[in-house]
Amino acid sequence: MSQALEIGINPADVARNRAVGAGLVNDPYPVYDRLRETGPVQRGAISQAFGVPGPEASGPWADRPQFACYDWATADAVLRDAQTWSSRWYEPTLEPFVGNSIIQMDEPEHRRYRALIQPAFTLREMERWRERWIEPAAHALIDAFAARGRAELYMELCARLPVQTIASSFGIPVADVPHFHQLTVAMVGVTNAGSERLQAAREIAEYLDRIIAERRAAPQDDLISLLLGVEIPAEDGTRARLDHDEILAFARLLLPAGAGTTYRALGTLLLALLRDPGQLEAVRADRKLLGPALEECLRWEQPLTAVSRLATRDTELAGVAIPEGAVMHVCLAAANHDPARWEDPHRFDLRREPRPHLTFGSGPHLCVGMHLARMELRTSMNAILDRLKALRLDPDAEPPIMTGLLFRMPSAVPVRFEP
Amino acid sequence: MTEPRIRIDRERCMGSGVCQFWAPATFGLDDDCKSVVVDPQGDPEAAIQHAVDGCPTRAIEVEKCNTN
Repeated sequence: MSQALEIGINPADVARNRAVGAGLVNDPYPVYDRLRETGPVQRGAISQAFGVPGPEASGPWADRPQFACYDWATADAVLRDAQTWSSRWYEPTLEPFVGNSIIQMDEPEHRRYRALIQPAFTLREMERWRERWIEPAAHALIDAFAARGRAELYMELCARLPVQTIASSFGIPVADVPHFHQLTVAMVGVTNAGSERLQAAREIAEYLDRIIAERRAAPQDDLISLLLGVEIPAEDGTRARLDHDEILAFARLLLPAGAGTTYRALGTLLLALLRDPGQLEAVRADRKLLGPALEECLRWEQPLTAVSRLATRDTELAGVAIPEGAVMHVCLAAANHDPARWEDPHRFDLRREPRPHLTFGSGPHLCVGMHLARMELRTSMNAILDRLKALRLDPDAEPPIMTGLLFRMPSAVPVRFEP
Repeated sequence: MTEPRIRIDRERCMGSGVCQFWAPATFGLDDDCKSVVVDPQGDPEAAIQHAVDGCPTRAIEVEKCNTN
């Protein structure tokens, strides 16, 4: 019986983790295997297959026929075909709070808007992100506990670094980040009361409005200044600046997106390596292994396990008839464990040769933050390996577990090291 | 001798940089945030194939052509 786990850095985070299955589902992979073996397309939402409440199965689309896919080829195909599989699924649960953001747009509108921020998130830009925001944040967070000889890394480092990074890129001072974190999580938690989400969204807007006004007067090299300066081409070729609502929508999407996923991925990576001291030592001794370790961990246990789409027309997928308006849940985590693509897929093995996986999605909505996520993971791990000697799981603490359904996360990462 | 020829469809390319991630010595991004071939043999064939497979819009084609 799963214990009632309380995981989170603030009350909104604890509630969110519970809503996404923390403490309810610990090992989903045997169930995914069974579903995948039955056929490439299944009826029913993913949480229904587990008999747990799931945010993705409830809400405004609950009366539509629900389907799900659990294998690599089908999942990849759905995500690449944005004409058939619309992202408007996200509109009812996000637009009232975040605004009309790229996560819910279809083509050609989606491409035009995404193109505005893509240049800020390229691989080449990541050096600047690392230098300006990621590395200073990682070391400051480690400074707080380095002399102590022990820490709960999941809360003291993993939960803080990504939100601090993205918030800094928006010009939010470090001191304000914890409050901001609570607001962003409250805003996107679909099981929260609408009024609570609206209040959080409004408070974020008020705060960002102050920064927007400052940057209008004096642009800096950051995301708000970028959003103020870009021009978006319309279909008739004319160009215009983004309006206030459009800028807010970008910000209110990127802040929780940046905060919520890399946080869990970093905790998972630490737990995976700490459970296997041999692999941890190999990486510490040869940092060239860090890239493959990181990539394998993203495949093996990813922070966000599923995305959803709406069928724009009557269609067929892997021989199954899908009516227009039906919901398709794409189980990325099951696809990443497809034995047709990876041998012994449930095993974390950094010596596996990396190959494309679905952790960041596929098709036009491929995660715009993926290079940033990898840079945060890499930079944090390097800082940890450099500074925390004899790092090991705390033998006196409860052994941590991996848990969650829609999101996956460690229950904790309690460690000891040489002070 | 076989030399791979890599073609990038600039209309399809969305500048995600997936190709650069899998084959960093082969692909770059230009100032329009479009993928460009820096060195068609910059990375091992397998890495270039990952870049082709990973491209979110299938904008990359690799042809092998014979040169004498």
